[in-house]
Amino acid sequence: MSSDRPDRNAPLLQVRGLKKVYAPTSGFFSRKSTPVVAVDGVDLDVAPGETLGLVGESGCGKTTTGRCILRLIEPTAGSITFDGVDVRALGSRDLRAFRRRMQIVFQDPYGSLNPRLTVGSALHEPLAVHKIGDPSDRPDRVAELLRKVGLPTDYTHRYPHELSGGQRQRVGIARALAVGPRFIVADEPVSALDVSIQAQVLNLLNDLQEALGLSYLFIAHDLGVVEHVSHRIAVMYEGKIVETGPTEQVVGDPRHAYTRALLAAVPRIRTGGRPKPVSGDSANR
Amino acid sequence: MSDSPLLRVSNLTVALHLEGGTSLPVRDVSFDVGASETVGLVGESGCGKSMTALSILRLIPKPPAEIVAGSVNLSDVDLLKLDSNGIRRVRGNRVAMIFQEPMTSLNPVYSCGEQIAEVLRLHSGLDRRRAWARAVEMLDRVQIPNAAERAREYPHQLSGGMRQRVMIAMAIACNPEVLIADEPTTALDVTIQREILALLDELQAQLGMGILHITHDLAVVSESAHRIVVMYAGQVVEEASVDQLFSAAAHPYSLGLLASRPELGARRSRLPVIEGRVPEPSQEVEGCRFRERCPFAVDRCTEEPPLLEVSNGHRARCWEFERVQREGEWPRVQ
Ligand SMILES: Nc1ncnc2c1ncn2[C@@H]1O[C@H](COP(=O)(O)OP(=O)(O)O)[C@@H](O)[C@H]1O
Ligand SMILES: Nc1ncnc2c1ncn2[C@@H]1O[C@H](COP(=O)(O)OP(=O)(O)O)[C@@H](O)[C@H]1O
Ligand SMILES: [Mg+2]
Ligand SMILES: [Mg+2]
Repeated sequence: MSSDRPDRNAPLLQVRGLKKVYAPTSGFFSRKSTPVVAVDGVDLDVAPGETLGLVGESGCGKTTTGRCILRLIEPTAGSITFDGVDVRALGSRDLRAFRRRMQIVFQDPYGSLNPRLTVGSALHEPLAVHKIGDPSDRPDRVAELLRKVGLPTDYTHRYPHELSGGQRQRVGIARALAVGPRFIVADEPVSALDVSIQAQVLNLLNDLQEALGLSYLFIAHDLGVVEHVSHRIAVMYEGKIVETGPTEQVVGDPRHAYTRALLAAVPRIRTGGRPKPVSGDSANR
Repeated sequence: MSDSPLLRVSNLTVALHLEGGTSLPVRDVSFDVGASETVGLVGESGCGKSMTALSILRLIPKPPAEIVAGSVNLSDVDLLKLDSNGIRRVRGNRVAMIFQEPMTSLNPVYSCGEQIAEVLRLHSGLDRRRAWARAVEMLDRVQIPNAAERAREYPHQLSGGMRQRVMIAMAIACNPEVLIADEPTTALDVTIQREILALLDELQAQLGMGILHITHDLAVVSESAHRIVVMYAGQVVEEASVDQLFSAAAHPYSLGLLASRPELGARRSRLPVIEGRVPEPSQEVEGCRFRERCPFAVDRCTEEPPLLEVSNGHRARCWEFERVQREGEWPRVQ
């Protein structure tokens, strides 16, 4: 794995002053009677071939940030420039064409695939929607996508419930790759997976980046995972970026107290172990 | 194994009767949990951890699952032999359980305080007022701020971490001897996870309960467990003290699990992976069930290894354990 730093002079994605306010919601299950400022003035840069890790705890605004960038939800304020294009100014037709260049991979490989579609149909769909290639050579493209993400090509006939969590996440990645994007928002792509399967998916994302020159916004709550894939890291807290910098700096010499708290929370294997319990006194009830 | 453990699971075997036939998701599983001891039960999804845990309290879905062999001794009573009244008196009272997603075990229409009070009235025979007071006390004990007010809130009004605290309060309300925690922090943020782990350690120090902590992430139990039982495809493949496991793992699968977690400081390197996936319970494998994914496999592995004694209190189901310990590292394939 090369750790060569991508060219930072020409960002592929530039986000400035991004803000998202959710209108107050009402209803039995909600107690929010005031607007929620989910993202509050976020600046981000992602260079070609670079992974920017976005880390912070649940509810701090990571998903909202990722979705605003793709305009899956409309930002309240701020600017988003992708490869020189003002993303917020795009009309609906241009936006659709634009989505070929920016894709998203979701956390939950169970929820993000239609249970009634086979793997083959799930991968065929984006090709048809974006009119990519000739209908006659789409089966070949589907097979090629499966090869790219390391799945057997005969998996086209399988349904999501016939796959393991890691395999479903590979299908999710293949689906994002189908349209040939340059940039992928990976929103907690390994948080729902076993540690052993996480490793496979993280390696795959790194391999694809090398092979295809992809850029990632990699979202997670575990700084240990983020560190592993990111060239640079942005730490988010209550809608704001509190620290950003090269991975080795953020992890090796964190400046913000919240970054230090996140670092301390990373589960790690500590040898030494716990002393044997003293059965006796403490066990008396 | 110690002389008189609090909880002793011996040769537990669970069958799963499905349309395609009968399979064995739990195969001859044995382990002990002592008072004030935390045992980590670790393995990938589908290897039979939850089935094992649920069997202890006879909560497995029956059908399709059925306990076909073994015993579960709590002190000197075999829980598998109790009648339905007997086991009901044990559940939530002497042995309590918490789960990954507290929402599934909390009742959405009762306030948190009411649910804990209900458990107390059932098992401890407290009257309404005392049960409520004790419920508030329990919420305070699991470090929920403003416990008296929070007791009136409903589960959906709380964050995931707070809900898990309520679950823990409910579990320890009757001062159980054993707490079974099935992936209690898997759905939580790492920061909240750390708080819950610290809480469990603290409660154990106060109450002296034995804890069976189930997880797929060895790192999660590396600080809190005294001993670790590693399961693979329905079987125990290694059992060791935390020290023994982390300094001298003897089963290749344990090495693989240790290697595949991204470590702080090892950035952007290729993670070692255990290729392939866990065989289904229905899948019969000739010899060792890990053989097909194992980089250490030799001809002899077509013969099923028993749990072999590695050293005092350390056992591994691998013919090649000496070589595994010598090499001490999961091979990186490029
Ligand atoms: N559709 C929505 N309507 C109202 N509030 C929302 C909505 N989606 C998210 N939020 C709120 O916005 C904040 C940020 O959420 P989110 O972006 O999902 O955070 P994260 O991905 O970091 O967990 C949270 O307080 C959340 O409750
Ligand atoms: N209710 C059920 N019906 C059918 N199969 C089940 C059921 N519960 C568990 N299994 C199967 O039993 C095996 C062990 O499952 P489980 O104990 O839940 O694993 P773990 O908790 O280690 O992830 C798995 O192969 C799973 O698919
Ligand atoms: Mg999110
Ligand atoms: Mg389970």
